[in-house]
Formats: sequence, C-alpha cells, structure tokens
Amino acid sequence: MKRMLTIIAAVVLVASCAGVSNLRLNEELTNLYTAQIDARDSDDVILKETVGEAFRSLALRAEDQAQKATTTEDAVSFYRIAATAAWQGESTNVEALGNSGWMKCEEPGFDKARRDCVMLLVIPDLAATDGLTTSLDDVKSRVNAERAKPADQQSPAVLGEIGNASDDIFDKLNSRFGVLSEARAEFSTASLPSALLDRLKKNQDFIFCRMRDANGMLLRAVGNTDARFTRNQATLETIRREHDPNNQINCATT
Amino acid sequence: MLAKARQQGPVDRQVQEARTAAEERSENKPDGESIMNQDLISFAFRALLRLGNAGSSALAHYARDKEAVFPDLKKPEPDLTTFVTGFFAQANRAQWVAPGTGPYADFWTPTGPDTANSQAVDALYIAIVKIRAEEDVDVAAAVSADSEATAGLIMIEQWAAGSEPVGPLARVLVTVADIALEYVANDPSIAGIDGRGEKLLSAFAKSLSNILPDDGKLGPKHRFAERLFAVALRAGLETIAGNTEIMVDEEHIRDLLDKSLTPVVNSLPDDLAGQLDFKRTLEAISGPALSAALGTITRYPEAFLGTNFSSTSAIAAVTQAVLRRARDADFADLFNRDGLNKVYKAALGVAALRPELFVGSDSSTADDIAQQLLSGIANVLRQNGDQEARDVGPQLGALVLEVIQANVHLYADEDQAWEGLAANLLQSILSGLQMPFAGNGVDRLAAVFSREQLVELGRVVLNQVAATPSMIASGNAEVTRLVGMIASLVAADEDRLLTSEDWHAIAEVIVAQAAANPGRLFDLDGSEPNEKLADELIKRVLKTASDSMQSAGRAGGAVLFGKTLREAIVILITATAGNAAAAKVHLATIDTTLTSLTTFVAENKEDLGSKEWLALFRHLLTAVLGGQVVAELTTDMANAILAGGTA
Repeated sequence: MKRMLTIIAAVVLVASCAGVSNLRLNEELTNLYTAQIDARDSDDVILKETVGEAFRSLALRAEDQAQKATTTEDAVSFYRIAATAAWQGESTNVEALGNSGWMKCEEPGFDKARRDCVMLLVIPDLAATDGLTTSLDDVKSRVNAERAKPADQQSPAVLGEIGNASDDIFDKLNSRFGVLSEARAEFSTASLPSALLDRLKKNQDFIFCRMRDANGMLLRAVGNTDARFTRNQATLETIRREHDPNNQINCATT
Repeated sequence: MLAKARQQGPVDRQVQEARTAAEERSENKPDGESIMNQDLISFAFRALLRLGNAGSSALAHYARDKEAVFPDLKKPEPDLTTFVTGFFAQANRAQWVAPGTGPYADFWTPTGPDTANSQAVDALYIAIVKIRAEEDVDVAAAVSADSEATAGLIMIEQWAAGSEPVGPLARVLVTVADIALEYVANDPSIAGIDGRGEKLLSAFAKSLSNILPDDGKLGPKHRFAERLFAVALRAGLETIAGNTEIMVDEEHIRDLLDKSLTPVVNSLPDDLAGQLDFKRTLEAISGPALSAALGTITRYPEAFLGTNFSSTSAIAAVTQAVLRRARDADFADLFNRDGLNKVYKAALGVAALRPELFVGSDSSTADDIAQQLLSGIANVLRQNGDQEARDVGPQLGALVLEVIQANVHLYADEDQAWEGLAANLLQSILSGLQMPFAGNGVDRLAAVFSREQLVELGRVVLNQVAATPSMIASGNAEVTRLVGMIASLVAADEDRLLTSEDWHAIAEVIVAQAAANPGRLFDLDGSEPNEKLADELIKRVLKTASDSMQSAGRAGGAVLFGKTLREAIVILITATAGNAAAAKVHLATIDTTLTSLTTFVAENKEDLGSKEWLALFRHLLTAVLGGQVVAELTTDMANAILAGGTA
C-alpha cells in the first residue's frame, strides 16, 4: 500500500509539474527555431510551412499552460514561449500574448523572470517589425520597377502611392524603435544578461537601418522636396546622434 | 517590480538548510573534506524527487531560468539600390552627393541614384566603401558575406551573470534532478520507496561528491565532470528503465563511476582546443558506453553479488580505455561506431565473467590490460587495410573476445598474454579469409557471404579452435590455413551450387575433422603444402557437380547441388578422414566414381534422385576406400545396393 501511494504521489508530482512542461515546451521552441534556420538556409518552402504550423501549435499549447499556471512566474515563462512561437509562426495573436504576459510581469513586486519580461515587452513589436520588413521589400520592388521605366512612362500616381506606403512604414518602424528604447530605459537599472542587452541593441540597429531604407524609398518615390522626406531625415539624424553617434551601425549586414 | 528581493522557495530553503548542516558538519571534519558531500547531493535528490510541491517548485524554477531562444528579425531582401539610397539619404551623408559640391553628385539626383546612368549605383557603392573604410567599418567584407550566414541560434540566460538566484552547486543538483524527473515521468516506480533508481542515484551522488570542489568554484574539469556524470546518470536511468528486475549493489555502481569516469575527467587537456575536442568525442560516445557498462552489470548479476569488486573494476578499466582511446582520430577511423560498440560490449562480457583476466601484475594494471586489448585489435585492423576486412574486423574482434571469455580456462600459455591472444586470433581469421583472394580483396567471399554470415563463419572456426587449444599453440598459423582453406573452397564454387548455410554446415565438419585429425586431410602445419587432400577431394566434388549441372541441368536429372552436394561433401570428408591413406591412393577412383554415379542417376532420373545418389555414394565410397574394384554401375546393381545388399 505504501509503495502504491508513493507511485501515485510520483505520478501526481510529475503530471502537475510545470517545470517538466516548461522544459519540454522550451526545448521544442529551440528545436523548431533551429529547424526554421535550416529551412531558411535551404529555402525549403514546404519545410518552412511545416515549421510555421508547428510554431503555431506550440504557441497554443504554451498559452494553454500559461492560463493554467498556478504561479505568476510560471505563467510569464509560458507566455514568453507562446509569444515567441506565435511570432515565429506569424500568428495574429502575438500582441495579445505579449500583453497577457507583460501584465503578469507588472504585478506588484514581481521580479522573478527579467529576461522573460523584457522579451514579452518587445516581442509584439519585433513581430510587427518582421511584417514591416516584408512590406518594405514589396515597396522596394515596386519603386525599382517604376523607376526602371523611361521617365515619361513613370506614373506620378503610382509613385505617390509608394511614397505614402514608405512613409507609413517609416512611422511604424519609428514607433517600434521607441518601444525598444523604452524597454532598455525601463530595465536600465536592472541587471540583465549581456546577451539580452546586446540583442535589444542589435534589434534597434536593425530597425534604424530599415527606417533608413524606408526614407530612401520615399526619396525615390517622391523626391527630396517632399516635406515628409525632410522630416524623416531629421528624425533619423536625431536617432543616430543618440543611438549611433560614431556611425558604427553597418546597414549592409543589419 | 525588479527591486523586490528574491523570494526563497521551499526547496531553496531545504537545500540551504542541508548546506548549512553540511557546513556545520564540515567544521568538525578534517581539512579538505567536501562540503559538497554525498549527503547534500542525496538530500537534494530526495528533496527534488520526493517532496512533492517543493521538488516541483525547484524544477519549475530551474525550467524557467533555462536558456531561451531569442529569434533574429527577418532579413530584408538584399538590394544594392536601396542600400545606396538609404545611405546617402541621411542628413549626415548628404554632403557627399550635394549638387555642385558633393564629390559624388554626378551619380545622384533629387530622387536618389541616377537611374539614367547604369553605373551610378555601383559608383555610389564604391564611394560608401571608401567613406566607411575611413570610419573603420568594412562594408565590402560585410556585403560579400552571406547575410543568412549571420543568422544563428542566440540563446539568452534569464539572469545576468552573478545575479541568478540559483548558485552553481544548486544548479548541478537541479540539472541532475531534471534528468531524473525525465525518467520518473515515464516510470514513477524508479523514484518509489526502494525504487530501482534509489541505488543508482545514491551511487551517483557519492561519486559526484568526490569530484566536485569544496568551495563550489567550478573549473573546466568540474563542468566537464558535471556533464559527463549527467550522461552517466541518463545512461543509468535508461538501463534501469529497461530492467524491471535490476539487482545490483550500490557499491558496484559507485565503483564503476569512480574508476571509469574520474580518470577520464582528470585527463581533460589543459588547452582549450584540446578540451573542445575531448568533450566533443566524449559526448558522442560516453552515453552508449556507460549504458553498455551498466547494462553489463544488470546482464550478469551473478558476477556482482557479494563484496568482490573485481568484475566492476574490470568493467571500469574497459570503459575507461574505450573513452580515452575514442578521441584518437586513428582509433575512430579504424572502428566505425557500430564496430567499436560490438568490441566494447564483448570486452565488457569478458570483464564481467572473467575479471581475473584483468588482474594486473607488478608491471601492468587492469587499465593497462584493457588499453593493450583495444590497441591490439586496433593494430590488427590497421594492418588489414582492405575495406571488407575493415568492416567485418570489429565484429570478428568481438567474436574472438566472446570465444576467449567462454574458453579462457583452456589457455594456460603464460608466454602469451590473453589480450595478445585476442589480437592474434583476429589476425589469423582475417588473414585466412583473405588468403585465396590475395591481391584481389575479399570481394569473391563477400559475394557469397553477407557480413553477418562471414562473422558466423568465423564463429564456426573459432568455437572449434577454442575447444582445441593446441591449434593456437603454433602461433595461430593453423587457424589461418584452416580459414584460408574454407575460403578457397567457397571461391571454387563458381556456379554457386551451395548456399552460405550449406557452407556453414560444411565448415563445421571441416573444422571438427581438422581439429580431430589434423595431419590426415589437412596440411595445417604447412609441412606439406602440396598435399591438401581434403581441399582436393572437395574441389573434385564441386567440379563434378558443376559439370553435371552444365551438361544435364536440373531438368536433365542433375541432383548434385544444394543440400545433396553439401551432404556429399560431408560424407566424403567424414569417410576419408578416417582413412586418409586410402583416399590418397584412390583419389582418381573416387573422382571416377563421383562422375559415373552422377551420370548414372541423371540417366535414370525417373527412378533415382537425391536420396538415392547419397545412398549409392556412401556405399561406393566405402568400397573404394576399402580397396575394392567397383564395377560399372548398372540398374540391377543400384537396386541391390539401395535394397541393402552388397551388390
């Protein structure tokens, strides 16, 4: 009888153990991300889609665990996994997951998962940045195609539309840059892993470069006399002076 | 939010209490005794595995703080025009393309690069390279690099170094508890009262405590030990999970861990490159190796009963030898993974059941013997560069060890250490297999036998040889010639009239007769190389069979193939072995009899078949060897013989 009780206790322990679930889901996230890198390197469309589907499935399961979690710190950890997976699976609920997790982080006195909280804060904006990068690629294609035509065949209307799109992307990227700046400022007094700080800085570098690209597209579409171009140029210069005073960001690889 | 002091969980408190208790105890102990002692480790196991919520909480804590992936942002499609435009569109770069004053103004327009000038983008890019080079940024190198190559797996810790709530020693504990829980999830009884994991976990705790430092400052060797022991624990739990009735003393497991892993940890090189290489090799092989070692303990429980640790020590010596040698490139090249595994497992079997073979002398330790055993087999493989021999060699090496283990009581030659005997026997087998195909690989043999069947052929020879120690006394030359003879016979069966199973049966008879009557049919001592009577007789049967198949075929009444041919050869060897002198005298008559009998049966295929051929052959062969003159076979004569008469 005693042995039976022990076995039952062990089963209950394991079944209810958030740690085991967390370990497995986190490991699954890492493995999927590795698979995604492989899919990207090999440009394997089917593998990309398969991995994307797996990310979305993982996001659902992690969200479920987060909602069932009995402690704030476990919920935060599961939301971090869910938000990361949703981001990589290009789900539409990244922001909702990030916000749910971040709300947990903002509970009074909570300080048990600094990395996870920082990630929850920025992941929705990073996911949005991925979307903006895709939009920017589209704008690039369109402006290149239009400007490749003889001057008399280029459509001012099309170029105007491209200019509007470029400016819109610039503004949205600027907002994302701001969120990352706020995150770094908010956690500036906390002791964060250097790799995380480095990551945040690199993501800001990346957004800065895409903002530069977007303003370049605006220039190509509507020219340097457009007020929006001049305004964006000033914004970029302000950011550069604060963020990269020595011109060390290399947009060729960022 | 972040300012609040970290809360201490139940297990944190438990571990802290245990650590405090250990520290208090240590004050009363001699200098150097470990604070990270076995009690603390055992305590942690119990706490983490059995204290319900507390254990769960500690694991959850550990899980939350594990490294997490931080994905890269999606890279944009590379586009040089966009890059160039973005660069010069910046306020601080505008002067380079300012109309009239900018050095690159000719390539620039109010809407970016001059699209009317096909070289504008390239020219502006070169300008950027120049400008950035003056700022110490190598744009050219960066652009030429594959942007995807910079993408990678970035893992982020939860806490900055030094600010994490879990210290290095506690981290060791939760790491191993994490492994244990993984197995408990599948088999809860592992952690039950008197559970099968209890002894392993306890042994593990004691061994680990011996190697970790007092002050908790883990150096490269300690971290390596932590990983290696984690592999050991995983291997042990796997073994336990697969053995419901495991019966092994804790002391044996601890002895194995101490004697096999600790020396390996201590041999970790000092230089970083060496350490990386060492870890890479060990991580690949240590899991399967330790699993096999622990599996051996469970497979031969009788060898580990009581307090005699010699079997454990021998297993540890073999394990240590494999782990140490596995990192040598040469060694890895000689053995494939599967081959090494087979040799290693066979050596473990020897160690478990014949530990006395690993008892060292003044000049050699058990570790030396294990090293020499592996080196000897490796040397044989090195000398047999042929790929087929290389592929089959490790399996034959394992076979040699199995045979030695089973028959070691027969070898009392003090001049030849047993580990050397193993290598010599392997060399004999490999040399024999290659004898008839010298300069031509063993392709012909490989065409007849699969790798498994070749090993089986080796087993037939070795089992017989093992039972006849005198065959080995002559330096294994007899074994080589015997294997060579069988191999040459296989090669002589060009029409494939016999299957590998048939050859297996024939080989058994040949080896048995060679062992019993070495001088009669077989020139195994090499004194009369031109007189290989058995070889000659079998080849004549094969030729008769081949001729018959070609002239008559199965439809034409030819019966001498497959089982009939096999049986004919067995009859021939058995009969002539008892009367080799007569066989030598009547060799031509035997040949004639074989031919005439085969033709006769084919011509009377309606009445005679395989069974009759064999009965007639047995009768006629006895007559020939008895010196009788055998008349030409007739139907009446055959009927009389088959009816039991003498004709």
